[in-house]
Amino acid sequence: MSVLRDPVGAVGTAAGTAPGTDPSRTPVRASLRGLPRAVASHPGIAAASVFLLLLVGWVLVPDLFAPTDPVRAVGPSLAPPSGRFWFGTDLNGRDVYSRVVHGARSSLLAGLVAVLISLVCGGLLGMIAGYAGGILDAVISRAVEVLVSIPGLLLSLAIISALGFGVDKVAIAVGISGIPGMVRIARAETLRIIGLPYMDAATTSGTRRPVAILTHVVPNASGAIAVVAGIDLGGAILAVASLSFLGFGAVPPQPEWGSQINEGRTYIASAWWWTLFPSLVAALTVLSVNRISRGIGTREVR
Amino acid sequence: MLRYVLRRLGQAVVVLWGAITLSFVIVQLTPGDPARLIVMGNGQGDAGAADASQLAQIRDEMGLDQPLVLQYLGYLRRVLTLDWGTAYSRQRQAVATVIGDSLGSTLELGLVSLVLLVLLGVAFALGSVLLPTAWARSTFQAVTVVGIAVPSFVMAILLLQIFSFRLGWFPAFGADGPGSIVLPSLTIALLGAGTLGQVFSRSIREVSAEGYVEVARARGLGNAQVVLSHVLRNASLPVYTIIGMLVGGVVSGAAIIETIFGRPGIGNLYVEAVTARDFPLIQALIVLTGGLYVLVTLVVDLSYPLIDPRVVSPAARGGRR
Repeated sequence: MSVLRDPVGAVGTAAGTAPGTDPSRTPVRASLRGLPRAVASHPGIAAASVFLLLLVGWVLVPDLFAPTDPVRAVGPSLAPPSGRFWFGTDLNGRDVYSRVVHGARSSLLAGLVAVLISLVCGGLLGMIAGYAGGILDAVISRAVEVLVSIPGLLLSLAIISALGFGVDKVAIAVGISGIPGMVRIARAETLRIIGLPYMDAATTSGTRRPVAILTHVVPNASGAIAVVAGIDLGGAILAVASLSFLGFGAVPPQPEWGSQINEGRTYIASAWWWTLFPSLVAALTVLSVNRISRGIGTREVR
Repeated sequence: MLRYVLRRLGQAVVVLWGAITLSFVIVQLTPGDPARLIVMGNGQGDAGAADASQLAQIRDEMGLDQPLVLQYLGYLRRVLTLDWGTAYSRQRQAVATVIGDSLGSTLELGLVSLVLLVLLGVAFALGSVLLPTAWARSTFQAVTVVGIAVPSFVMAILLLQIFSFRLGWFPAFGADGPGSIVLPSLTIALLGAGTLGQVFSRSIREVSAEGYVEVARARGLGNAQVVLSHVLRNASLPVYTIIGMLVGGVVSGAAIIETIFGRPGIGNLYVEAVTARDFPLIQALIVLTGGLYVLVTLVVDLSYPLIDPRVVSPAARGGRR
C-alpha cells in the first residue's frame, strides 16, 4: 500500500507544489547556505531572487515604491497605462500599480502564515507519527488520507464555510489544507533518520524519546521539510489568491491581488490592464518562489 | 492477491467514513449557530431579524438541537440512506436534486479536461525527453514549470482575452454548444498537464538509467526507439499513481473555471454554497468529492497489479516495510 501511496504524497496536494520531491528516495539536504552559489550559476534563480527582493520591499515599505493612495480615486476612470499611472487606473479611478504594490502585503503574508501553519502542525504530527509508530502512526496516517481525499482548494473552501470570510481565515484554511502533505514528508524523513546508526546510539545510551525527537530528528529532518515548505509557499500564495478571487478574502476597498484580478476581469475587453497586471505579478511571484525553493532543494541531488 | 484487494477495500471504506465524519465536523466547528448562518447567508437580513420558526425548522431538519452523539449517528444514517436534506440557498430544493442538475455538466467538463490533460502532459514529457536539440527540450520543460505556476484564473482570463474577445472563436460565457467547453477544459488541462509532464519526464529519465535500457541501447536501437519501446511502459507507473491527484485537481479547477466561464456545475455550486453558507449542500459536496477520490484511487490501486505484478508478488512484498 505504502508503495502505491507514497508517490502521491510526494507530489503534494496543491496544484502548485513540485512533483517528485520524495525525500525517502532522494535524501535532500539543504540550507540557505546554498543560495549564493545557486544564484551565481543559474540566471533564472538570480532573476527570481531579484523579483522576490522587490516584493519584500513592497511588503515592508509599500509607500516608498508606490506613494499614490491605493484606496482613493487619484485619476480618471479606466485610464490606460501611462507615465503617471504605470498599470493604468481601475473603474473608480484608483491607481492599479499602487494597489498591486500595497496588495502584496496581505497576499504574501497570508501565504506565509498558511505555510507556517502547515509546517508547524504537519511537521509535528509527521514526526510523532514516524517516531511513535503503532496505533498513533496508523491514526495520523488515516486522518491524513481523509484530508487528502478532498482536493486542496475544496477543503479550504469547506473550512472557510465554517470559519467565515476574510484574509486571515483564508490563510488558516489554506494552512490546514497543507497539513497532510507536510505530515507525509515529515513522517518519511523521520523514518529515514530513525534508521540511521546515531539514533541507535542515542537509544542505547538512554536518551528519552521526546528528547531524541528534539535533539536528533527535528534538526536533521528540518532541511528537507524546509525545502518542501518553500515549494508549498508558491502553492499557498496561489491558493490564497484563488480564494480571494472567488470573493472569500480581502474586504473590497482593501487591496489584494486575487480580489483585484476578480474586480477587473469583467472589464478585460475594454480595460485589459486592470486585471492583467495583478495577474502577471501574481504569476511571476509563484514562479519565482517555486524556482528558488527548487533551486535550493535540488542543489545536492543533481 | 485476495488479501491485497480486501485490505485495499477496507482502507477505502475507512477513508470514506473519515470524509463523512469530516463533513459533519466542519459544521460543528462553525463558530455560532449554523442555522442562523444559513438564514443570514440567504441574504435575509441580520440574525436578529431571523424568523424564530424558520430557525427552529432548520435546526430540526439538520438535527442541530440533539446531543452531539445522536446528531452524528443521525447524520451517518442520513448519509447512508442518501438523504442529503434541503439546500436552503436554492429555494429549499432537495440537495440531491440540486446536485443532480449540476452533475452532468461537470462530468462532461471533467472528462474532456482529463483527456486533454493526459494528451498535453504526455506531449510535454515526450517533448522534453525526445526532441533532438537541448534548446527545444528545455523549452518544453519551461512550459511545464510555467503551467504549474500560473494561477488557473489568470490562465482562464488570458485565454478568454485572446480567443473570445480578440479572435471571437469561442463563447466567453455559459454552456451552450460544443464550442463553450473548449476554453474551460483547455484551462483546466493546461494546469494539470504541467504536473503530469514533470512527473512523467522525471520518471522517463530515471527508467532510462536502468540496466535493461542500456542493453537495448547497446543492441543499437536509436534514442526514440529505446524510449518508446522499452522505457515508456515502466516510466508510466508513477503517472498512473497520481491519477487520483490529477482528478482532484480537475475538480478543484472546475470550482474556479466554472465560476469564471459562468458554466453551471458542481464546482460553481460548491462556491455558491460556501458563499451562502448552505451547510447541507456543502456537506453533500464534501462527501461527493471525497467519494470520487476514494473511488478513483481504489480503481487505480486495484488495477495496478495488472500493470505491475511486482506490487503483489511475494518476493516484492518481502522487501517492503
